Amino acid sequence: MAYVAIRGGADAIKGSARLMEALRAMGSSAPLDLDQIERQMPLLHSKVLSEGSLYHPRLASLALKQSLGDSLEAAFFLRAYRSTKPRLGETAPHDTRSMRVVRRVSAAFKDIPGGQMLGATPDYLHRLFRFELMDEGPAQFDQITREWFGNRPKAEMPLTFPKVLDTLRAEGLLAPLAESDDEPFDITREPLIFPVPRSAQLATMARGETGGLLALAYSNMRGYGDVHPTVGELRVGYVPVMVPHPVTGKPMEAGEVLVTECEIVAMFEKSDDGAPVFTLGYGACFGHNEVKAIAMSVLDRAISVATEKGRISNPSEDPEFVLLHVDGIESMGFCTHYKMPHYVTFQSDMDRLRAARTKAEEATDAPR
Amino acid sequence: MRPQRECWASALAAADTAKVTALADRIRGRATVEPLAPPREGLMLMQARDSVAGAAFHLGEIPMARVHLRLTAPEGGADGGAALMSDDLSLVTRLAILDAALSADLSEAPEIEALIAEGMAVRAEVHAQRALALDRTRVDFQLLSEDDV
Amino acid sequence: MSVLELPRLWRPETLQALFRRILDVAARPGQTADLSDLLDDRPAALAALATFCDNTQMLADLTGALSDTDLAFLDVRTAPVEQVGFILARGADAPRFTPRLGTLDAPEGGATIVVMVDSLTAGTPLTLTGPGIAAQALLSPSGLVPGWLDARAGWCADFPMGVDLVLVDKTRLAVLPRTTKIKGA
Repeated sequence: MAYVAIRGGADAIKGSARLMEALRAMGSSAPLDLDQIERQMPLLHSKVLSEGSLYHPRLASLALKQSLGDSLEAAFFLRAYRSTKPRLGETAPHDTRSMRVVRRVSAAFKDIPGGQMLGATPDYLHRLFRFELMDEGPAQFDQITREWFGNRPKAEMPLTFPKVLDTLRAEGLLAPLAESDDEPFDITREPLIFPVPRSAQLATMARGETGGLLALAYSNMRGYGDVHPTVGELRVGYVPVMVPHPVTGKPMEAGEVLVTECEIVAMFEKSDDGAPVFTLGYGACFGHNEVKAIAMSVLDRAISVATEKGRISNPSEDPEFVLLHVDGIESMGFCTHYKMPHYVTFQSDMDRLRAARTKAEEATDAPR
Repeated sequence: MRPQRECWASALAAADTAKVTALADRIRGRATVEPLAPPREGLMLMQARDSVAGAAFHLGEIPMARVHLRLTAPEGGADGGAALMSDDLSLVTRLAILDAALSADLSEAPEIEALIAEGMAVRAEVHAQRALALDRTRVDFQLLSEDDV
Repeated sequence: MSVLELPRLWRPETLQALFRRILDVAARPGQTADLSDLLDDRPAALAALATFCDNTQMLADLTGALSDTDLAFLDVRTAPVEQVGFILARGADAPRFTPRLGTLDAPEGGATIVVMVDSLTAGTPLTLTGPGIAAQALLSPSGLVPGWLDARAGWCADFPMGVDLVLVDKTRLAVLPRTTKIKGA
């Protein structure tokens, strides 16, 4: 079933582009400022950063503005923009223990080294409208910031913290972490031909669409799978990007990247000796996106379960099913292409349908 | 005490851009500058290491601009370099010029050090704001026992 | 202008022009490309590598002629000669290695060898026949020891696998693709 080449419609297409612009500009609201999008809609902004797979905060804001708020389209803009830039290379692997944490919680453990810090989260708030937000002005913002920063105690706090799971490793409750020397699989250059290595799985999910990952992970959580996860650690913060200084060769900080990272702990009964062991799942992505990181870690565990068992019991355990259906640009693109003219194919379908109906009528009319 | 060389670029990037530009352009005006590698801005794949199985993987792509040059002033010179998560090649070129000028101890060195100090203060303030946020949202949940109910 | 000027050889428009000329003589083996107006006094060997190399490729420099700055501008990784896609060698030194020859599935994996010779026109004529050549063509490199053509014959015996040679003197370039048959010398 193929979409076909067409001619004509240039005026309508131009008219449509102009209409989008006109609808945007009509009315009394002021043009959106890119800073407003980044600062006042940071979670939507984060979604676009990770699904676009390009950490460029300013362009992510522009993408949201230009796409009229369509996060799938906005991510598409970033992906397309990537293809216009030269590839300078790869960084060395970053250890997220270097993260300058803004939020760090554990559901598995009450007391963790360094403590738990909620950061900015709506987790414990009621989902009740604050109608006063309908009428905010700069004066309200001034007051809020004055109150937050006024009477500021001298907070001498570290910003980096050890991993919660390192404590379990130190106690021998988890196997020591063996760092792999393998070069990461580059999903931007190589197609996924299964089985794929773990680095391909993580990279694919890291830029996966949040809703897609969530639905598949939820299917596992709800009972179509066997993962019973507890969040060992969820951390959000800024990872300093280190690259070699061009002259000295020693690591220098080129910037920092907001990252969400989740490690889940699940139990899995090993069939051979019957003794249950702690098993883990991992999720990480650009931006502040907790649902995505948790969903990613559940799917990571689900796929590992299938590998350990030697069989796939449900779609969330199937790496091919998961990895081929979570990319937002691929899925949105395919879905949206159905709107493109398919006239010739459909015409031939109509002709075949008519011919089949005629044959069926002739068969009922024919003498027995 | 002069901060470590690898901290200079990130500090200068946080300082007042107009001052950084003016100082770097003034030094460039009286020196020759030649590239030792193609000055480029583009994208790099950012590798992270998964802390559960130890696999290195790509989190995604980041913008990066990198300049490596040789600065020669009448009284001396040095190689300089800078790399920044940015698509502004002009800015990174200026950071590389300041890196060379400071490591060659040219006469502008005190001004460069002052800008570095200014940038480090800006970064320290960001750090302080983050510390404040962590401090005010520190949690010490108590499990409800039967006595509390 | 606050961004540094690239040396003339490394500018995109130069590399584009170089590539066009190299492509033309690769399609017509026996013909020689004069690169002098584009070289900015750098050697033709470097210009050839400049059009071929980037950070997805690997290079082995058997001559030691490439400086650190040259390598930085080539933006290429170095590796042992048997592993690389591009080799820089001297025509005066017979090859004592086996380069990558590609596979039946991926014959393009065979190495491209840039061979520095004294002159492309001052030596004994070699007779060339094959694709891209009407009847026959002559190429007369001097400073290319016989070991090179003997080795090439062995490397290219299992076509489509094999190597492609790029002969360069100071300012000129000629290409001997694996499809070209060579007699003489």
